[in-house]
Amino acid sequence: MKTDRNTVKYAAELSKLRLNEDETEKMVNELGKMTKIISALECSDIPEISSDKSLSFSAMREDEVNQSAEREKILENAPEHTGEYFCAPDTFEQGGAEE
Amino acid sequence: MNFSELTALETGELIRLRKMSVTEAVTSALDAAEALNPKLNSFITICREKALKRAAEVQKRITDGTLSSPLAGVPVAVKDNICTEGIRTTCASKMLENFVPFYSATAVERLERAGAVIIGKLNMDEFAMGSTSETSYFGPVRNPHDISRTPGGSSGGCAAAVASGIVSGTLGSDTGGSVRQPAGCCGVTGFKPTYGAVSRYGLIAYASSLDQIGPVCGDAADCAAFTDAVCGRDERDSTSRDMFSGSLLSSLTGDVKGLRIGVLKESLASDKVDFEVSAKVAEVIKEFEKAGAVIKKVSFPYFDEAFSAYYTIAMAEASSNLARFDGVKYGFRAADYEDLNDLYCSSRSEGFGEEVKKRILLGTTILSGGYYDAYYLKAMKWREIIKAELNKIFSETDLLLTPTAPETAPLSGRSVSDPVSVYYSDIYTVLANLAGLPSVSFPCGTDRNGMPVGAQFTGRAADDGRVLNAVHAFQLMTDYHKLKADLNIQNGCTGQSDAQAGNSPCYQEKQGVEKTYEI
Repeated sequence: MKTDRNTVKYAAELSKLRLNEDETEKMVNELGKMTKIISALECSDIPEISSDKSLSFSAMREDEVNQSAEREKILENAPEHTGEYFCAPDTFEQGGAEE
Repeated sequence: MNFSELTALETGELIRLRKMSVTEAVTSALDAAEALNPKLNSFITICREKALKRAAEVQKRITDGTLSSPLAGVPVAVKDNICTEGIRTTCASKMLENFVPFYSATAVERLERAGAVIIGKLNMDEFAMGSTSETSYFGPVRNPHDISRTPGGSSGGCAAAVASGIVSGTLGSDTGGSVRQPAGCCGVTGFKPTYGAVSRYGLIAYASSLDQIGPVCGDAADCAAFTDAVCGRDERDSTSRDMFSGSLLSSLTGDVKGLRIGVLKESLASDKVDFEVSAKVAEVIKEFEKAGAVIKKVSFPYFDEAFSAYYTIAMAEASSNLARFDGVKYGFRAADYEDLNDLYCSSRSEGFGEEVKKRILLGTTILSGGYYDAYYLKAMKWREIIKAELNKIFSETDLLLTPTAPETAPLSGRSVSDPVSVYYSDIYTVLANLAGLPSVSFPCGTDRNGMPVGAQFTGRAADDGRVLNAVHAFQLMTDYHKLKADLNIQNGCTGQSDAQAGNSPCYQEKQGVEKTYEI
């Protein structure tokens, strides 16, 4: 795996993380070390097996509507809320298109 | 009475027999937590007021006969990535520094239903990402046996709290060894049940297909009692199920005659394992031979692939799970931002620590176009091969014995100076997570520095009783699990009795610990 500046910057963009130049440099170095621990996958040929899915398990249940929590309680942990909704910056600019 | 030397079951029994009150037991644990926290930093939050209020309620129910359980009235503590209603749950991160859940994890609900009293929340690696408990936003946890060393991680607070006698039992979480490796480092018993045995509802997710809640206690019997209290099907976690026909505690007969124990050749005859660790595990083999177990040498050829597959899957799942922290719904929000994208980027960049960012970045890369097939898909295929290989081993043996980790507790600072070697401390623990198997670490002696050595048994899926019974048998034959950290001498702390009198130096230092809060 290549861990150069471009790879790190692209991953940061996808992850919504902001890195300054020094941090980017440091991450290139650190991620370079970390790729060693997953390097065994690069050169390994995968032996054929008959797959055993017996450990995979997921229980089914009736699809019933339940209230999971009260709105008020959920909003208590929000950094900003109106009492009804979470607050976030505008996604679109205010005002409509000019006629 | 020396509360710190009692097991959870012994405490519960004394309370049941009216030889000790719940308030006495809980007060003693709270005093010890406050006295020792300046040295060990094992707690992020100590909730004295809530705990004492609950102690009175539990006592009332025990007295009027409406509550009877082996853990009724026992003071316990919970890792800070497991949600507790009304008690701050930080995941040891700035991102959740002020997060107070409005619900409890199913495991917490069940532990409380059994009458346990939570005295506080335990320190850990941030978002459980680490093996030394040094990546916490609230400062590193220290090993009670030697405070210049780490307690292992990520459930380092759990292991330190039990090893120092603050509480006899805790709930931790194990994604790649996070219950077992710190248990090994601190000389206590840490159990990861079969995947699905304990609901993950309310456990803040790191890598969902690997995460499992499990107890860290003083011995196997306490681990069994804790698991009995919290296990079983929960509608809110579709991977959970009723797995055991009876209680695990009742399966602890101590009889291991005829038990087939597979010893992994690669884990003992290896230059990667400290020779003293190998020697102590070899002594475990001798004890079991004496008790009538059958020892078989077995081989597992895929350690390197398992290790790589584990980290690939864990980081990929982490990058996905941690996408939810966006500064909008809960958690940290940056003070300055221009638009929505800037809010996301600033909040996440300021809220997450460096180790978490590293794992998110690598996980995101692994899941991105050019690398998905080469790493993630390959890791998932290896996971199936590893499960099949372990199944093959378990067709000839009942349990697998390895060291818990290649070496004893590392000196503090290793996660910064040599992070790759810290990752390798999980090499023997990740197999159980990849395959979803029950696995337990137990103390089997000390090294030249007096640091505990951990050995590990892993068993077949749903065979948790047999895994714990083997450790129970060992603990009937030996006293290694009774070794307590000598905090009086080494740490200069005068312990509980002085703390209660208010003249412990550690107790006075409490004022200086800025990030430990009372709720």
